[in-house]
Amino acid sequence: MVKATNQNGSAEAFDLELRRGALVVAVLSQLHTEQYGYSLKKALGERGLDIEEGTLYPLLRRLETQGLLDSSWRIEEGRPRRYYKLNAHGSKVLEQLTENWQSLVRAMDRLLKGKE
Amino acid sequence: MQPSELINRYVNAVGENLPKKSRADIQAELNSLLTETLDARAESEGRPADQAMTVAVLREFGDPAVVAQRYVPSRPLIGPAYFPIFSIVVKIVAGVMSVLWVVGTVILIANSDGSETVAEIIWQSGVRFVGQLLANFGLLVIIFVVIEHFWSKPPPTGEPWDPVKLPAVENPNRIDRTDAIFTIIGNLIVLAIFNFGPNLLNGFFLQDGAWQTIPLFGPAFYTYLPWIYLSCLFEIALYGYVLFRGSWTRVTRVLEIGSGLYAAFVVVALLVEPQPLAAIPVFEPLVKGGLIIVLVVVLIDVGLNIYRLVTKRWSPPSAPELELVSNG
Repeated sequence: MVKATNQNGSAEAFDLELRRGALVVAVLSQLHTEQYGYSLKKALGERGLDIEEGTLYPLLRRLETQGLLDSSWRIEEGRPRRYYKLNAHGSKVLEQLTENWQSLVRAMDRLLKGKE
Repeated sequence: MQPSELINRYVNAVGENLPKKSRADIQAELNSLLTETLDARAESEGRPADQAMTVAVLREFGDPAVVAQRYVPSRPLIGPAYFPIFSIVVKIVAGVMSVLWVVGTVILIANSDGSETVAEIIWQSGVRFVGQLLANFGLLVIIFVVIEHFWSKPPPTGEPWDPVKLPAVENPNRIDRTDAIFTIIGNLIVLAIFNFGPNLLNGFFLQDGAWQTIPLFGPAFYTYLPWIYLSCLFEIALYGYVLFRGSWTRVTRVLEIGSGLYAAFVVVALLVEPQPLAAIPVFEPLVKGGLIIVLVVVLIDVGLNIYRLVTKRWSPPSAPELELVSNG
């Protein structure tokens, strides 16, 4: 199944794979405070990370199922909304992922600069 | 088409490919997110949401099958591409096997030499039936697992799809008025015939140039009439109420199942009645055959009602309802 995404070898297909792991870190990073799906999408977009609804909303669910987020339904502004927030386990995982991410960025930076 | 109708269809189409356990909750959230996105889009464009705008939003969310797949990322034995077909095949096989089991059991009871009680025959036949049911289910699972892994459909590729062409959401609780009226009329006819026109049930034959009649049913059959009347009156009252109300509820579905089981019980009681049911022996197979057909029809109806009760898909519940359930 995963193979199907980059079978054509296009930059878009590889970009999709590149973003996949980063999205988890990005989403977790914005959930120290409660967010519902649409507000989170807007928050990410405002910080330069556009993410498709069909990717973001299932991802939230998955992160909740994996025990990183807690969620609850509430009515705000007359609308029913499901709010997500990092739980204690999610915070620890995010902390670890942030360290790994920064280490990866440094390594990639060295690799890419070395090529120039 | 109204935006809300398009959203309902989309949410329903996503739900079709989701596991039942999480379906209602995901549908409720998706409904809320779509509505929110559409309202924000209408506000930013300074015009009310219409079909074109809703279609655009739905396209951005993506093909319902793809979205559903993202909600269920782990690879199951039978994936979303084949699960709907698997589910239909299982239901058909189970339905056919159930009918065959009922018919087979009735035949066994009818042909019993008395060495076993009716309960023993039903128990033994039931045990065999469950074994066969499980074996066939296992076989179907194996077949579909093989199909899934060796002839797996490629995942949906995001090819152009048209939200407007998604099928409408059916309300499984809406009453079929024609069916209800026919049920009431049918039961009234049965009551009328037994009360006012028993001659209509006579067998006719020509003898010496003149038509002769012989009653179809014997005295043993008529001892069951109060039981039959009770069944008819209950069905009339129930369908009259549901017709008046306009839709089925969980309670009326359960009552209908109870009514069907009661009718099946009466028919089985007639079938195992040691006294002849027909007035003359030549009519006995006709009466028993008719009763077996009635039993099969009643049991199919009961099965369908149980299926509707168990699998009925409501519109996505609202968030407060979900909260009440989860707190509940």
